[in-house]
Amino acid sequence: MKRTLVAVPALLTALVLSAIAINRGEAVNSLWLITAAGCCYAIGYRLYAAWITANVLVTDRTRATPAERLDNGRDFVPTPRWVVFGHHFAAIAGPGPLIGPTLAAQFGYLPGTLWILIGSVLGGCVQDMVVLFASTRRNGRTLGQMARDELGPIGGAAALIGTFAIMIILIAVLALVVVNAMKHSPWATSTVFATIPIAILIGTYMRGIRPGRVAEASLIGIALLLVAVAGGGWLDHQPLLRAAFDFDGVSLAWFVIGYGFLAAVLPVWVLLAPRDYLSTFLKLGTVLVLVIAIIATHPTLKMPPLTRFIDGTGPIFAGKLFPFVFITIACGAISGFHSLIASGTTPKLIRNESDIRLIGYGSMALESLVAIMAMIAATLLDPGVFFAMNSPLAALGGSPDAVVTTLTNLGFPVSVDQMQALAQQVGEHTLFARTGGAPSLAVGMASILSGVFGAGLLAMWYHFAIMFEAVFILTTLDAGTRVGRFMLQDLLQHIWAPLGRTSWYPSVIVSSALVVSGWGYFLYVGVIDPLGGINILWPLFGIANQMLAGIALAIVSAILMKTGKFKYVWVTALPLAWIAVVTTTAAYQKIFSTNPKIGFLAGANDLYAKALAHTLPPDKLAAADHLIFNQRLDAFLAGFFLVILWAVIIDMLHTGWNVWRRHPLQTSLEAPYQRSQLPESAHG
Amino acid sequence: MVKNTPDASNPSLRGVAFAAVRLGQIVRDVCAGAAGTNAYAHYQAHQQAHHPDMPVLPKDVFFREQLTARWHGVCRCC
Repeated sequence: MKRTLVAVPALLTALVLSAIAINRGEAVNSLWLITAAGCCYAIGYRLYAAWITANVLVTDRTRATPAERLDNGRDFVPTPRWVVFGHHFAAIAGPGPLIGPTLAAQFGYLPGTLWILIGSVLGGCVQDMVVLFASTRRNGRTLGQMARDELGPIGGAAALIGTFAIMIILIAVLALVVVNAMKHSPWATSTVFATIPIAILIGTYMRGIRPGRVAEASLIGIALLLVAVAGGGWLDHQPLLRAAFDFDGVSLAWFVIGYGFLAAVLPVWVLLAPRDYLSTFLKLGTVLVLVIAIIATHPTLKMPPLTRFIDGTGPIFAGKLFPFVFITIACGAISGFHSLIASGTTPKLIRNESDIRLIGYGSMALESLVAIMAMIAATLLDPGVFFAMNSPLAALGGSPDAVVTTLTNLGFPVSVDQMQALAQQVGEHTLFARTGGAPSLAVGMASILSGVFGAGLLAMWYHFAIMFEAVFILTTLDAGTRVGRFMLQDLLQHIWAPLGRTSWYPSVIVSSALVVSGWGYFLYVGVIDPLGGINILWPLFGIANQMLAGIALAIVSAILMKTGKFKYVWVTALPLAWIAVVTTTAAYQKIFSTNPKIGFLAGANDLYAKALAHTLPPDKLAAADHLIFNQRLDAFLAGFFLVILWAVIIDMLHTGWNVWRRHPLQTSLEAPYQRSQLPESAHG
Repeated sequence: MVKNTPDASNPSLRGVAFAAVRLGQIVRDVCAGAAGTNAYAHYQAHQQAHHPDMPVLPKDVFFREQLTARWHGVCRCC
């Protein structure tokens, strides 16, 4: 029985991958991609993950987990495994796996898809599972604490600084995506704004009217959100209201900055927690509906497997296939951020060590499937439309006519009329240069969903998809700002103790303002950049996220070596080596490349020279000061991330060397064995 | 948490029906667990079993504390 369970997906994968390979030159159906992905995960889960848990981690079902030993009925609670799976998946799956693959589709569907599959099965899923295991064996200690325990003060500090930096960049880039999706779109803006009072209403309901009635409140909330999407459509036809919700990028950026500050200062029950419930249910529902819709409509991919832009001349972001596809798709393949979740709440809920494979490896496989669906949504569009939507105007000639001509000449035919007709269908003013990935993903999702649930509803589905992404992003934005604030307060209390008090309002306001101005700055510069800012910020985010993945893999590699698993250390060391190569190459190119489109320093110098020679277009000249400073700052940050990553890697190698020589004696701080008293399994 | 778990190993039609009921129970429990609706009941049970002498927090205070504690660390990802 077990053998057939492995053999079937194995044969199917072989068949599917050969179909994709043989089909080169003609259109490939999305069903092949979904099947290949499903089979890859099945093999990875049944063979590789099972082998790792049995031989490398040696999970022990008789050993009591911290949830059992430290059960306090609150944060340490032994929980059925499917419930923990739901918790964990909801926590790790955010907007990242939707946006990265959309941007990386400029290389064609093949590179991104292969990286999502291979990266997750051998890298991302393994990272999540091993970190989860390490933390479970250490009473649910966080990544930062494990770094300090196992590597020393350098590792600990690096993990802390890395987490803080990635938070700032992540929030900035996500906020930029939302701003770009709302820019001059009254329908999208009014819908996204409406999510805020809806969340407050639901928060009040859950706290004051019927405490703890989460499911009931969330259902009401989701119904209201759907009403908000439809209401936005109505509002779009009222000239006065339409004008009231028509904002430019800078005003929207200020809105988001102000909103982020408020959300971080207000108590969680007001806005953050209720919106999080809404977005979790929306997320699970939409993922399910999308899978069904893709299988039902099985659209054909119109994007070629590889495009000419693998040479680095892409209009969405500059840089060659290697290393940039591996940086652009972080979430969905391997995401360092997950290691913070896997060493946070989740290990305190694990009922039995044998659940770790499902929760750590399985959740990440599912997130990877979300990334595959985003890739399908991006590549089923006409390539011409896809590029016209995602490229900044300035990158392809400056006006819609020039963009259309350039793209058609490059072999991606598209016309202004076609773009206009599509814009009209989805209820938008224009679809040119809607950078950030959200609008093109929304068009892709809308065309999949309207294929199953009503072709006339394209505009509704489009704005539903925009609202869906915005709700995710705003949750990450609030939660991230709040965590950034706690980390900052933790740091500031060394300067003056009262600053560390998390409920003392002066300290709360000061630290929140500092965090918000950190990401607000990058958001603002991104908005005033005529090239859209995404092309600068997204690679920086990718580098930061992969740096964190490198840190996490280095910590668990050290743990494996210290616990006597020297011969198996390649399980985490190989992904680490790949991450180190990719991140180092990408960061080096982003800093030192002489191509001003890729290198931050070259970009700054190019702008400076052009500003002196008065050859800059007026919109760029106005922002030149900010842009030059920002590119230099980004170069510094990229270098800084690289230094942190290598500091941790060297620390890990040093630890490994000491283990090898058995001097000084290396010990790992695992909690001692205690026999589990819980019945074998409460749930399947 | 699941009461009268039916025997799903019986391959007859009855067995299939039982399996379906069991699946429904799992889905319900997973939803309740993921939404945290049964957290208070669990807490009450825990207090009774381990700290019978300690006062039990009222429901609204418990949920308030849960919420604050939950959002104190990194709990949402990109």
